[in-house]
Amino acid sequence: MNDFLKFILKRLIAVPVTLFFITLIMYGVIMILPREARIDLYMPESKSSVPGWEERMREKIVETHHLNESFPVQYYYWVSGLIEGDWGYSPTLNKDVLPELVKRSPVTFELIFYALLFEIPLGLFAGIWSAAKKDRPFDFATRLTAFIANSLPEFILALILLSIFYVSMQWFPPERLSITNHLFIQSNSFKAFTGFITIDGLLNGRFDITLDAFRHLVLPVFALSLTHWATLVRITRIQVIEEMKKEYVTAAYARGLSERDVIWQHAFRNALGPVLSSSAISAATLVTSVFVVEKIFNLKGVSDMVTKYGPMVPDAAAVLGFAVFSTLIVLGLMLLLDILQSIFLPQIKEETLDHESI
Amino acid sequence: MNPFNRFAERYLNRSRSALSEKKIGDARYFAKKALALDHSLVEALLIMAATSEPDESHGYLQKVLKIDPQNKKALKGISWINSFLKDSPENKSAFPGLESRVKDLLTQKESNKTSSILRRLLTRWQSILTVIAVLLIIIVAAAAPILAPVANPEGSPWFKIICERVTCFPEPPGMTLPLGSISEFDVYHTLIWGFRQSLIFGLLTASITALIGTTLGLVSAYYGGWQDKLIMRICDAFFAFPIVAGVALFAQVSILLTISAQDQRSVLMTAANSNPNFFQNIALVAADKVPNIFQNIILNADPIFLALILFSWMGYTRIIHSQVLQVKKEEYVKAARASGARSLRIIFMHILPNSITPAIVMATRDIGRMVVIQSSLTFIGVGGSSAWATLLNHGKNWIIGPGGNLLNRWWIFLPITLALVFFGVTWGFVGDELNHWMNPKNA
Repeated sequence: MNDFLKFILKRLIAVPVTLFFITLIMYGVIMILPREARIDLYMPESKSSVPGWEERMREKIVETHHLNESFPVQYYYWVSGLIEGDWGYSPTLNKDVLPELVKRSPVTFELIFYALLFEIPLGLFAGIWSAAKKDRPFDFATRLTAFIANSLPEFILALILLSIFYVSMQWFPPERLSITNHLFIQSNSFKAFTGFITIDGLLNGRFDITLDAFRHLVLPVFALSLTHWATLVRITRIQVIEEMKKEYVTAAYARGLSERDVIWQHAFRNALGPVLSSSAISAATLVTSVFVVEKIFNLKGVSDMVTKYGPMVPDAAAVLGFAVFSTLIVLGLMLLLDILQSIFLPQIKEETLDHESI
Repeated sequence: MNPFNRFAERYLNRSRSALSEKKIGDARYFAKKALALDHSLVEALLIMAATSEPDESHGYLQKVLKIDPQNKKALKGISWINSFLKDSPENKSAFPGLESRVKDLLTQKESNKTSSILRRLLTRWQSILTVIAVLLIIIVAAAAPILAPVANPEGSPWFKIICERVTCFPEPPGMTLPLGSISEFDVYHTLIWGFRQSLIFGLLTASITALIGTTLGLVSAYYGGWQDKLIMRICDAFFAFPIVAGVALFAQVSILLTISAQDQRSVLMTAANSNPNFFQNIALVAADKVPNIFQNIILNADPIFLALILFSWMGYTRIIHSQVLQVKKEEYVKAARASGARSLRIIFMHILPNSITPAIVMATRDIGRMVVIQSSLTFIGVGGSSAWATLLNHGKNWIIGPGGNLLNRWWIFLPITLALVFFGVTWGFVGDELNHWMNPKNA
């Protein structure tokens, strides 16, 4: 348990370091802008129509955020603003950025949650099973599916799914809820406890809403998890096959253990570490796919902040907030996978799988 | 795995040390023992060849060449025997028949050298298919102006506008439109030109990221110390950054650079109408200021290109880092350092050639991967300018809109989707094949 705490602590310390480097790069990119454009990052909602108000406001912003100073000073004031919750004001949404991001995040989190819930167990299971039944029909079928899933980009898969299961069959519609339920959850009689509609529906005693939410989640979750399932299967399969070649596996067979015991108790446990750490590395890829899927299924998640009006609309505060927030999501995801890994594995190996086999 | 390997290895070591002490008989004795345990030990065979009469040694060299046709020592030995025979007629008469056998071997090797790569490639059907697919992509990309001539040289080469009305319905394939149209665009034209765009984009992005990542990995692993810690920490940090955020950021900076602050509100209004000539219009507004070098880069480059370069080098750094750490421990690197070779020479002559393979494999796979990422992000409208995805985006409402059916209007999505998947899968296969052939076990 001591090791476990040490490991978690080590990972927790890495989070601010990561955030430091990434925000540094982000603000470095923003620094390319001339000062006039950077002022707009901090422009509050226009509350006054007094002539000259905007000019005075601009001067005030330059002063309070030290926009005339050098890069490190500006960066410092920007980051302390972020920590205090001052993420800027978005002119396109007419609202402050942080509350808007938080408001949209449950959609994204729900999607990620269900995708991981399906992808990880199924990916591990299929990977192990096809490693155990190497070169048999199950293995070939899994590898073929994984190959197809890996070759189809998410947005194409999502389009195909939509056109078959929504347009032709009318089974699984896009968006988050059907229109009547959507109106209902916005009324006062529906309490949002978690923001996950599938769970809130149950807590409010409205099973029909939960069911409706699941019906809308089927396609996006499937589109999202299929590609990542495929990579997981590939890595798990390779890892378990590698483990099966090792001497302790031969020894376990020699002790008279059955194949099932050898695979699950030995090979699987030792293969799990590299598998989970490689999924932690690809967490950023998962988040990018989440945003792609959100857009195609018209789910108003975090990505809505930047895709609502397209890339041509000037709204630096929203985009910068989106970038920081999505990095936070990735970091949270990585931490979650690390914790998962340390729960399953008492001894943590600092093995890192190379990017190539992902 | 031969269970006697370890013992064979031990005999080989003793033979080696005997050879270095000039005890020819002992060396021969131990090499023979080693060969008895493992008959494929190249070095033992070479020792046997070096310590035998030309006739016998020819046999050993032949065995070596059977195991490894490119073995330089064996080839040298064969040519030594050749010159030995030529030196005097007595040698020739002492070993009858040897000359013709040596000659056979020498001519065979010469012809092998030139065609061996091609011949070996053709022994694997996967390799043949991959080579054909890559050639197809390159030919289509190179011959795009011939296959699909550009009608309007001033407009974008990626698209051909065939309909000037405000609302254009997609037209089915016909005589003038081989693959139909999507709103105002000719599908066939973009399909062909998309190959050129994707190939250029993929090659450029993959090679630049590979270069950056490899350099960083090499530097950090070779020099170690605090640089190593810093680079690897930054590398870990960058893994947590989603590409999509980088693209949005670069697209945003680019747009903010093109407009001055006062015009923002009016631009907002124009953008809402999604005017296709939007970029040209606002670029004129900002012409009053001279941009610096960073601003120039952002203004002129695709935001996805910049984001991919900035945020996808980490894989290369990691893999090169771990490779170099391994290679650094090898004897030949230590020997080179002991003999006083300079760092740069050690890096380029010894370390890089022995650690670059996985990075090359990764880079070829990335050519396809980068293009797929580019089209995904262009499709959802974060930024970027993939021609294929732009066309798909225009056609998206015809696929999933009311009354849409995948098979009714197949030309809207099928050709471009297939092209994109083909492109991605092909480069994935190129990576697999390179991985296969660059692995010393298979080559």
